[in-house]
Amino acid sequence: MKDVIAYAEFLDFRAKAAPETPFGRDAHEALNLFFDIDQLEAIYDQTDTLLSLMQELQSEPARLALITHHLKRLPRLPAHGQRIFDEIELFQVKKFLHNYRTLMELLPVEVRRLFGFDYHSQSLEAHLNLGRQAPETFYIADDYSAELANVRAEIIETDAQLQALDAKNICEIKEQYGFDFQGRLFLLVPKKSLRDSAFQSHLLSVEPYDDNLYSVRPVKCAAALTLAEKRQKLAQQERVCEELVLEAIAREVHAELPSLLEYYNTVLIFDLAWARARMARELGLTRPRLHTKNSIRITQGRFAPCESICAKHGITYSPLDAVFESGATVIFGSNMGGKTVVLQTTALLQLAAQAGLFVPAAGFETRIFRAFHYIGERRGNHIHQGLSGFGMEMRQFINAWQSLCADTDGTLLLMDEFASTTSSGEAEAILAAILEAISQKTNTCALCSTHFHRLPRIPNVRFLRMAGLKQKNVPTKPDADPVSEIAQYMTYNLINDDGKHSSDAIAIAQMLGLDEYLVKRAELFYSECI
Amino acid sequence: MFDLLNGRITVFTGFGKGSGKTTLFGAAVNEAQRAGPVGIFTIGFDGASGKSPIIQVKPKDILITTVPLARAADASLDIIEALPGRSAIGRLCLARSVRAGSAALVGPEHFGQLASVIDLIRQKNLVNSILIDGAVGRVTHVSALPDSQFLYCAQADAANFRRVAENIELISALSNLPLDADGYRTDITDGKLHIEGPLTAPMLETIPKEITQISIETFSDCFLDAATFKRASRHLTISLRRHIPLLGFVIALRNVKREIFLDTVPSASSRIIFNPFEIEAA
Repeated sequence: MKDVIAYAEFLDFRAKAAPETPFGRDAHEALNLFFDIDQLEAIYDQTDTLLSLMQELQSEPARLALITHHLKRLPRLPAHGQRIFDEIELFQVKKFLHNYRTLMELLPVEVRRLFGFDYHSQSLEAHLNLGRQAPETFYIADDYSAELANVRAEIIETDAQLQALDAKNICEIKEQYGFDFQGRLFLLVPKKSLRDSAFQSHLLSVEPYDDNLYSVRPVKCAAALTLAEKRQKLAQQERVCEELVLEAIAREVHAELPSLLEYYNTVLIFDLAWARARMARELGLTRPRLHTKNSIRITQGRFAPCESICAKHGITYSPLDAVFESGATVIFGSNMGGKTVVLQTTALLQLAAQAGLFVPAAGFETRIFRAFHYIGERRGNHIHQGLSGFGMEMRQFINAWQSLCADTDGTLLLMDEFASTTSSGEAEAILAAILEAISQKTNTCALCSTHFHRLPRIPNVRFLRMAGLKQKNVPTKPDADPVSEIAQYMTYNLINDDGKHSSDAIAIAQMLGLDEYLVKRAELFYSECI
Repeated sequence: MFDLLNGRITVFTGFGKGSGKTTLFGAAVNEAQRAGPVGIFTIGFDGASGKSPIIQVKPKDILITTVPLARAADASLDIIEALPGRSAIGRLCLARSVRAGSAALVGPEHFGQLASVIDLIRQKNLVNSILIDGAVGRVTHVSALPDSQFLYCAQADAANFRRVAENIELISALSNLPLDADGYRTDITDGKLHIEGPLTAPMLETIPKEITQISIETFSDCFLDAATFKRASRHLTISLRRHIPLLGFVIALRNVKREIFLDTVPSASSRIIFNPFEIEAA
């Protein structure tokens, strides 16, 4: 499966459906494919509903932006096994409730119904809002407890008394010694500015700083120290009161946990669907049509990585139109003619459909596959495993074959230039044997791109080819981009193969700039051997 | 000097321990609070060592702390955001002071997180100025904070003042480097080299001889010592792609005469403030 995902560059595609909430992103991390049509249809329905909503809200961009805004603001819920929630956890609960409710209020009734939005935590939310707090902050306000309010009032009074004493102290120092602290904790005073009395003063602490300066700090008076002690005790009382408030709120949150989890699951499903719909809208994706037949029909299928390469080279991208029946399909074609892209597009569309995503195609009718296999080049992997390129492919196929023999629920098998690194005669023989065996398997859809034109025409195996070069011996312009030059003369659609075409390798090599002498010799050798 | 902090993001950084950075930072907070709420942050303290800077907050000031430290604070704090990650003593949160008093600051998990927090509080226009108690001996973090300026603190005594002066000269020279005028982006063009990441002494050795100009992102990407920088500057024009304003140097002098110190820092002398807590002789 990993090979197919990498081959189709599916994770890059799927990354565009990244949800907005942190828990949505956690869920999105795990790639789940679905194997049940009803389940997938339900997921597509969700996407469709939200696509319609996005369409409707085009005239209300602010409301559309608010939906995303509130999704983004939804925090993770705290772990719910604990007895007490701390202030941050209660903050999260409060922020969650506020954003969940506001999001729900922005949604039309039918959307709420489809996703199961409901809200009956007004009382908890109101309690978390006590004391005219902002909706997305949490503070143990005085309103939670009269005792807390009293203690805090006393703290404020004590602080004011302390401040007044400090100010008086500073004033006295200024009057007696001329040192103006102006809010500074200490001053550096030149030795000659310090009178002897300053060293003995109960108002000052004087210490040498260096050979010329003394560090002078105000000293708190006895009354201030007594008040500071009182202040400390009050702070402890405040903490006790706050703990009691936290316990009371925690009890309320505990009682509300089943509802909170319900909201969490609802909004998680909504978030995932919102991301899918946003992606479908931005990329112009289409709802796949699932059926129980054995065929795959692709109309104007697109493979984004190839599209961007085409754009880079100024080439018009040719979307894929294809029908693949169960059993085996062989795809021939010119080098650089698009065989691999056919396989990659098919893999991408199928993976997307089974991941619940809409697909980059004008139409995609398909079935459910239980297993996916890719056999072909995997950059450098074989070297690490001590295998040659051929050895690696054989190992891949043997694994696929075991699963294919055991599987009755459908396998999509993609073979990209299988056995191209061994002798062509033997490779063709192996491939023929494989194709013959797969042609009997009605529950498998195998697509095999190859240059082995001498493959026997096995019954029930379809032979297609990329239309390929429209014209050979095309004069190439010096300094021109060879890729776009070749693309100009290439037709990328799939047609039935009549067995009379080659891979145009010599023509392509010529267009890529192979020395003319070598081209001529190659043509001569080729004409002698066919 | 404190006027220059108003409405700005200022990082207080310093050379070595005991540079007077944190003391100056406390005084700067006190001054900045007169003009409105302040975002007060630190870098490099996880709260577990017990050495987290304690600052006096006023109502509406904003800081990063943890629940245990918020509970231990004299100030009363309103939680306005839960931050991802946790310090050694609990989860980090962004808090706003409801009641004045002392509170311990905790550093964010990384500079990027602090940059996001600053972005958030600026978007919501929650504070007037932002002050950051930066790391000692490093200025790298300053570049992670967009639109920031920095202030460099150091303590110089008879034993270390030449080393301090050398460092100040280097920082001053780096912050004075010209801005990359033509914004050349290629790796090597017409004798110019655009360097991504740090400029180190080993890297300097690998620069081809035909290169006469190099650009680095900010001055904090230069990891050369004073002597190597001076040597490199003789044959290379070094420019910056982004400028980070240097507000100045605050030097706590001990047993070193100001004139003697100033003689050792000719290029930085106009940007130096000595002993900000010192009062004139009566």
